[in-house]
Amino acid sequence: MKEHLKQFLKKNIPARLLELFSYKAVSITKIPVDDAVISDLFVLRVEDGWETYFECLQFDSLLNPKGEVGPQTVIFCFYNKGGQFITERELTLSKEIKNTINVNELVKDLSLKEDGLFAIFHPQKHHWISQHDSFLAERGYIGYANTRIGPIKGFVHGNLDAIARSDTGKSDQLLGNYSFFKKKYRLQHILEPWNKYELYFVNPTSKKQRFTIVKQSNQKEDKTVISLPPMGLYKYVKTVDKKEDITKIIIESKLYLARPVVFKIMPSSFDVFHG
Amino acid sequence: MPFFPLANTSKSSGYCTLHNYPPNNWEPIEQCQKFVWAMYSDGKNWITKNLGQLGIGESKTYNYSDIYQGGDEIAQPLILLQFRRTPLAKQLSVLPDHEFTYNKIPEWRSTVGFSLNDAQTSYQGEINPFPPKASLLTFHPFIQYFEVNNYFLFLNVEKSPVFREEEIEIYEGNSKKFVDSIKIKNNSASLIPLDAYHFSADQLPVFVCRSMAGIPFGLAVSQNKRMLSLEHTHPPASFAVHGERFKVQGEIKRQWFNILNAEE
Repeated sequence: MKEHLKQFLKKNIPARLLELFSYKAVSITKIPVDDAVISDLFVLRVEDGWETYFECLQFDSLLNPKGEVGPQTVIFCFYNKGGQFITERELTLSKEIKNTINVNELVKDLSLKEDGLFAIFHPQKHHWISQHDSFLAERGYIGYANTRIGPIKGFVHGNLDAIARSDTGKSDQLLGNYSFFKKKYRLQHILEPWNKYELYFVNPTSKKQRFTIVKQSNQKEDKTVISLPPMGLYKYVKTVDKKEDITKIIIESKLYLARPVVFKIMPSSFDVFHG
Repeated sequence: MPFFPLANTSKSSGYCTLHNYPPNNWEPIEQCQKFVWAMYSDGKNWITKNLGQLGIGESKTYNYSDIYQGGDEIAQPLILLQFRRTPLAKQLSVLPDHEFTYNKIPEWRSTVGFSLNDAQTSYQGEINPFPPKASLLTFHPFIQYFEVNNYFLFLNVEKSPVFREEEIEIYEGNSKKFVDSIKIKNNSASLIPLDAYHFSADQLPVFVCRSMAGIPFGLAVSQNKRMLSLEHTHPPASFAVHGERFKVQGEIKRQWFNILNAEE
């Protein structure tokens, strides 16, 4: 009963209103309409020799391992940095449980010059998980590679649960919640000298959001202020030189959880992780 | 309430960076100077070590080899770091309770990483003790090819320091065929090399442990030893959001545990 009440409140009352009663009532994402499937908004890297791969798992096989699996169609949707829809690609997967998709190849004909975002929507079937009021969600994994750096892919999963698609909804729904009040998110990772860091910020809300990225080092603060439209993407680049002390990043915005995807480029390797 | 894991493997050196500042400013968290304690199991007791203080806003990196040396090719004791107000006895028979309140959105995390030559890889992590009767099902999509060695890394911690070994079963996800069974150890980081199984790009290694839970990772090491890659695999609950996700996870595990059989 208590769970159903919580679900009802989360679904029907904006998080920023619930927050007025208690910070404990905050929900990071909205609950979409009943027949929706959810995807993260994943960073598509195409600049500077980067390649983006997606490890696509057959959800039918994972949820019903005894069942027969046929070819499955998934839809890749692409967006530019400004959050504008670019194109949609329908992909019929082999019946294998795992397919590695070279995402750059999917849009090779568009000769994209800039990084962007993509979402992946699985078929909107009635899965048994809906009996538990749950929604199918594609959260990755994304593999990034750059042959100029070396042979290894760095993997990272999505953590925004950002966008929902349904048969009944008129258009895709952005699920990110935001507050009336400014919040700080402090990246619990220190930026080290000699490395270059590329932090990717995404706006998963339906409203334009202002982000202030605060860099703290040597007792100084540098601020970068950006305004991101819904589904917008921003790449913050910082090379930490040897004179700089430990460097920390704080993000001020109205998002409850403004976590970036972090690429750490070292002299002869790279790493990627989410905040 | 988290411990912060400091793991090590025979292929790369472990480190963990602790941060004495909360990840957000809107959950009411007391900010204060904290003592850092390390603890690891010798198989009978938790052995503790005081690592000094961390001031408000400070971060500090702790290297595994500065705290513990030993372990074998497959399993090395997992070191747990904990923020404390009060000191610990030199040996403990059970993991100590926590003395601070931590954030939830997101969890208060450390940088848990490995290094090899000039390369580093890390994730933002914490760990809580697993119940001894828990189980694991995870799908491992991280196999890499060409000049890369692949490993399955499994971190476990339980409240009791007593070591036990269990079998982790490996299957292929398309055929559901049994591939191998390997011993893993609690309160340790267990490392399983995967290249000998020759998984192809469209195959999906599935890992099942019916008597121990933990955090599973893919660890990749370039053959020139200049690059590393690390990411955790998801528990089955991650395929669903909202609602009763852990009932979804229970049902997925039930189905897979029934269908995967090492005897066939």
